[in-house]
Amino acid sequence: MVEGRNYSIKRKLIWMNMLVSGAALLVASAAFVAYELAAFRQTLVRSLSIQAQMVGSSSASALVFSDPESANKTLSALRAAPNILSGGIYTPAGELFAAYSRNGSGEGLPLHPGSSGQIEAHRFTGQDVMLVRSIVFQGKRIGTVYIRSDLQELKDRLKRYAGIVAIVLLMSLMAAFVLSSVYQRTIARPIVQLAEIARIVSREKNYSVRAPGKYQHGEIAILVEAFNEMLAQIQRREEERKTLLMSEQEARRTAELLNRVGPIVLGELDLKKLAQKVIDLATQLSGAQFGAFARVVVNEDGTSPMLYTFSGALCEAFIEIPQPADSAAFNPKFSEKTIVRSDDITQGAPEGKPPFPFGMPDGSLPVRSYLGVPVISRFGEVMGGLIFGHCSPAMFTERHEQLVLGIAAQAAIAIDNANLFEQVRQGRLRAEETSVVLRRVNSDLEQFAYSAYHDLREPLRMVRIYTQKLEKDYGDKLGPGADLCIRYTVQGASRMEQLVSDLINYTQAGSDNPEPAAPSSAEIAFTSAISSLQEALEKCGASISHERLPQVRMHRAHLEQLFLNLTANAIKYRGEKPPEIRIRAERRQGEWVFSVQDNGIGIDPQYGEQIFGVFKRLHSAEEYSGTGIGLAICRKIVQRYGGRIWVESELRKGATFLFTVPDGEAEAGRG
Amino acid sequence: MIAMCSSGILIRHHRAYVAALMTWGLLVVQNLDAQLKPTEYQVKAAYLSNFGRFVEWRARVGNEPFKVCVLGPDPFGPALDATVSGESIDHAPVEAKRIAGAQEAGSCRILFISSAEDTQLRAILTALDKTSVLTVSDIPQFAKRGGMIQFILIGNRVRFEVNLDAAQRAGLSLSSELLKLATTVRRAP
Repeated sequence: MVEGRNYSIKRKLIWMNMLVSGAALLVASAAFVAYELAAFRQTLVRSLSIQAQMVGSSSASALVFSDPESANKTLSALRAAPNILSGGIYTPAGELFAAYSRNGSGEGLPLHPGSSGQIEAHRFTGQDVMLVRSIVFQGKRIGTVYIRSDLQELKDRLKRYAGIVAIVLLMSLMAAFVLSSVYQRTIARPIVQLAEIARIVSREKNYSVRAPGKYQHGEIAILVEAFNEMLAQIQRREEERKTLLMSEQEARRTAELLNRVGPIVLGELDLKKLAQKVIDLATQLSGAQFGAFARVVVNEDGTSPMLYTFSGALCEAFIEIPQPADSAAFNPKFSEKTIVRSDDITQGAPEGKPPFPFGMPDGSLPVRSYLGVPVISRFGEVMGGLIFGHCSPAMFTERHEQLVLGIAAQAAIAIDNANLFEQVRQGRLRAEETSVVLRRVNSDLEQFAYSAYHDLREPLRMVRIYTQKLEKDYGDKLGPGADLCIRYTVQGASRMEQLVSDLINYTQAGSDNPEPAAPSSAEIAFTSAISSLQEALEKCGASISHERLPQVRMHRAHLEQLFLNLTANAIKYRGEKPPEIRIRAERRQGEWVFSVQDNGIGIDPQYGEQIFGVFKRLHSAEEYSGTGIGLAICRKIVQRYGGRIWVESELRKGATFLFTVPDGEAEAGRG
Repeated sequence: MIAMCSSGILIRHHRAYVAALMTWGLLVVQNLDAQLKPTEYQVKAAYLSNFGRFVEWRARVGNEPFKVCVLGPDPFGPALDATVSGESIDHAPVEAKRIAGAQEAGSCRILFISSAEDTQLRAILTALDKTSVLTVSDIPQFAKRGGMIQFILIGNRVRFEVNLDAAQRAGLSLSSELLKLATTVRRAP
């Protein structure tokens, strides 16, 4: 293959040389031959002309005296010239006077020799040349000689020339071949070598080869030099590219590793497990034989000992796992937020700084390669450090450093997260405990209230009944002042009874009922509430109107209570005119808004909130009777279902009480 | 076909003539030929002046006309005059002249002796002795009898005999070109 390549350029050079010399020689030979042939033709014509002249002058008398025999005799002298094919003498009138033909026949003689004004003319045809010449005798044209010669000699000459040219050409080409074979090497060899090197470069992508530059000739030297320069540039760029590619790949690999680390580490909320995972991963990814995660733990008593987590296949070979407290050898101080990386820690710390955290127990294998990075929280607080070791020197590169730093950052976040999670968990635990206590207290209170109601109601009833019995049986026997006393006693007892009853209602209104309420008809609840107020309504001439009310998710008793309390309020706080009460329900943004409107005395807006408190009254019991607990019960019921209750009113302009009931999932149709 | 070559035509025509001319057409052709063909004396007239071109006279005189003389009854008719008219030999214009006696021949270059002078030939030749006049005649035995050039007819062609001795005696030198055409050349013994 190499030979073939050599041949191609060699061959081209040789061929070129031979072609050039051959072409030059051919042109020269052709010119020479052409010149020779032209000269020979001239010579031939001249000799023919001389012969014609001789024939002409010898046959002048024969023409003059019309003696063709004599002329024929003269012509037959042409036999001496073997090239003459035929000859003839013509009279001035153009008639053949005498003729000669080499082969005896008279064929081939032209009738007219084509005499023009000239004294002599000749013409070449492919096969022969003919010449005519006027015979002039004593200034008078007395006839014409015609001679035709073959071109045998010309052809012979041509053949001879061709042979000579061929031989000369052959010899010249051989000489050219030999010479160019010798001299092509000076040009071809360096080019062939260049080509060979170019082939090596393109096939093996080996840019470190160089063409030998020992040639002194101008262009070849420049070519070789330029080629080598080009190779050097390509080599440089290739190396740069490779370096770039490697660093890119490294960066990508680091990023990928860190991405893998992220979910593993961040998902772990247990600090111990987290630390183990972090150091396992970091040790594995950094290729260290030994890794340690030193964590600062702040105890409640203010001490902050170090907790160590170890990893690495050879970690037992390096250290006996020490107790955190007595690991004097591992007494790192992570106060400096610097990174320590040493190719050989036994040769001293880099930049003269004391290596932190550094120190190995006696008897452990010597750590040569060393890498330590701090773990810093997002608040800038040093949480600990990651330490890696290897017993071979120069095992940790900048890439490892970057990788470990990335892991450290993620570890910091993960630890922060775990800490936060721990705090939240503990907060929730405390809240749950509080809630349990509260529920128990509440339940106790309800229990108490209920038993108090039962226990209180009976004595009160007895007080009222026996006081009334006293009035009936002994009213006339007592003094006139006693009536008032008895009346007040009964009134007080009744009022007390009412208060106790309301209190228990209030307590029950807030008591938890874990089952969600089934939908119930507000219409029915309202009708039921009104029927129990029928007497009071009629007494004061109240008119009550309502729109059709929807179904809502609320216990019917609670709903009835709401309508009862609010309607009773409207009757109670009526003005001078007979009360007009209007009840409506409308749907607004996922809840039903019920309103109970009256034309009563109204409420000063500054008390709009106060009236919903327990035992809160704006008026004295003499002005308006009541326990002051009705609206509080209403609020408790509404709040229990997640609704709100409020009043819109002005003094003496009537009041509108509104409460909302959340719609819930079930679409409550009207009616 | 007719205008091919003079000798061929002559031969053919002759045969045709001998075979008796039967048609008018052929007669026309024959007449035409007769017109084209020079008569014997036309040929002889041409020869006469042409002899001057192949002969050198010993003494030559300036621009004297080259006289071609006829002694005795003229057989040429107008042919001689027509032949020589406008011709010149050695820059001398050629003239035809008829003379009555030999004594008049002194200025002549060429003298044609009519055959009618056959009987007087010896006297004429004697009279011309010592002159350099080329004597030409068609008298039989003319060359033999001391004449220089004698016309003879071979077939229908005009040829001639030369008595070189007589010419040399008269101081004339005849060109070899002329001699090679002569049927017979008589030389001094």
